[in-house]
Amino acid sequence: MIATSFLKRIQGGHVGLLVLAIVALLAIFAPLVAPDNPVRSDLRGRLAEPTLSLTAVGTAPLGRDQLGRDILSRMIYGSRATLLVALCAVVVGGVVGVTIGVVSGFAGGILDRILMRITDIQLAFPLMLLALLMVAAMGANFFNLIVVLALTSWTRYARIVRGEVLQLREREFVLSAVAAGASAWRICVKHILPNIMAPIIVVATLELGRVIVMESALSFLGVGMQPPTPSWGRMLAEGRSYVSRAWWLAAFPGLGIMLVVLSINLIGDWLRDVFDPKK
Amino acid sequence: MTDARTPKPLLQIRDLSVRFKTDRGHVHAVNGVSYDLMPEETLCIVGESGSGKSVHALSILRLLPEPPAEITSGSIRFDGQELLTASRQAMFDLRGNGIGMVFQNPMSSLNPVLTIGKQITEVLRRHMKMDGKAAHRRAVELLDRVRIPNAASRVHSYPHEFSGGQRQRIMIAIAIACNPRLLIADEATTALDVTTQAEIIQLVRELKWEQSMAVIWITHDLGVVAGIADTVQVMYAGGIVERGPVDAIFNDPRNAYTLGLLNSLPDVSDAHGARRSLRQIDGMPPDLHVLPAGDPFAPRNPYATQRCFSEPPSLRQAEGAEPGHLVAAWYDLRKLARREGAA
Repeated sequence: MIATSFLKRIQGGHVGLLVLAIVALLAIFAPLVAPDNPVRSDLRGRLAEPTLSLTAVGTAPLGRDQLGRDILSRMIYGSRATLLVALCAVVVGGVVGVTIGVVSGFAGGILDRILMRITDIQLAFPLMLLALLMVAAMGANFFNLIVVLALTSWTRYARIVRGEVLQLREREFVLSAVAAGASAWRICVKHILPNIMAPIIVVATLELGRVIVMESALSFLGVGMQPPTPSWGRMLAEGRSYVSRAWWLAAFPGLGIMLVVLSINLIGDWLRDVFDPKK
Repeated sequence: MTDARTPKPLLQIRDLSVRFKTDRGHVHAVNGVSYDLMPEETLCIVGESGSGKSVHALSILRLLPEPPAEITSGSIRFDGQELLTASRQAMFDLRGNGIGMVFQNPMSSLNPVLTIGKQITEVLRRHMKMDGKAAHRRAVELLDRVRIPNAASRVHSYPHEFSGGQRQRIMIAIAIACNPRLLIADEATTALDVTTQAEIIQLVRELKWEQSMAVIWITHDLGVVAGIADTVQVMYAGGIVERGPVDAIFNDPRNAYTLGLLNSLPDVSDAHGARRSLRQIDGMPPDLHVLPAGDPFAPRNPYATQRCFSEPPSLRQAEGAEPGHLVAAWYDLRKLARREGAA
């Protein structure tokens, strides 16, 4: 009885939080939990199948890759880069995009037009070209990767936020707030932002998934995380050439990405409901 | 009254004109409006849609979007301070503090995602510089004062948990939170049903006495006017056509438009029990893109004289009426109406 009522109260968001918490803990305590050095290669264990039994090169519950590196350890270490890059990119992109969207929608006029044309240009610019140019100019490192991913991300927030703000600013409660002495800044922060949290969260969760996949694409092109630093995207990309012979190379990182993105989407849905006062 | 011998007006509007830029040119929404509002006076402004009553009220607090709106001339002095040239900061400080305003639609005037407590405390913290605790206490007091039941717990509720009438009370609570000297209510009871309307009017009457505020009440409902006004001001096509003490306007209207408005009211207390059919004012309000040469109401006015079509009448003391009863008309409605009654 108690168990069923407890199960009924559990929401998708709780599951998502739990999964994300586990992944985050694994990432933080990677040196303690990883069974092996993620960059130690041993060609004797090349493409070794997932097995729980001890072999000549040690245990590898998720198998070994083309250089004989332990996939489980690589995944645990890889989650650090993957999550950190993705979260940073989504937050940076979100802050920039929401700011531009709110300013554009609220100010209107010439400023709106200028900001939206910049957004259009950003949207029209081929991402891969941009990424390659940026990396060529500034070098491939962690920070630049975040900048590149945030650059591809902010336009989506800006567009959606601007649309929401455009219709919100005509609402009577904004006029009421002005009549009560609120400044433009106050209205944006205290009255408009809380009203657009739901779409922002939805965009952010979708973006997080997209950014993780995007990071893998960039890593595949060699402009993302630099080897030997593992990231899930890199592992997925590298495993693709072996997928017919050794499915575990791509399958486990892919599963990891899927699980994290799914968890984040669940959390997003749950947060949106939490922020909705009518629930 | 503060000073009975030489009362100084709280609000002094002189020759206010507002126009809106549109694709077809300018719409002249308010044209040369001048009046004084005394401290603690309740002024009702009546007129149909597009008469400029709301626009002129919004321009007092400089709430019109400029552009497309443009205040082309005039002066608005509140408590001696000129508002049309005031700085943005001065206006921020005045809104919700010296002048409170309540709008027509209580269902959309509150922010749906903030608790009403937050929305009330926001003005208190902003203008009265209260800390969180003091503001919260005052918010509960205010809610209690506007007769929201269980104010202490309801302060944490969201707007959608209240009825329309309650939301309008909350709006009033926000508007009076900082003890303003003037409350402007723009069609504040129009969206409410009649019993709720009566409660809101009663509430505003009480608050007005408690806080010694002046009130500008904008409405198109003459029934509301009778219940609340000291002074009535009738507007048409962006100008004042008649203005005077409430009894004078109801019993001795001097402008044909005022008479038309009064005739369009149902009279349930007809002494003779005779059923009178409601009379409407024929025609449509004028297109304010081009102001007519004469009295804007002339084309709809059965009493219009030749002069009405050529020369705009100015607002002046009505002949043989109470002092302070002003009318803008070239005709003398008393004579004309009497002649009509005899015929």
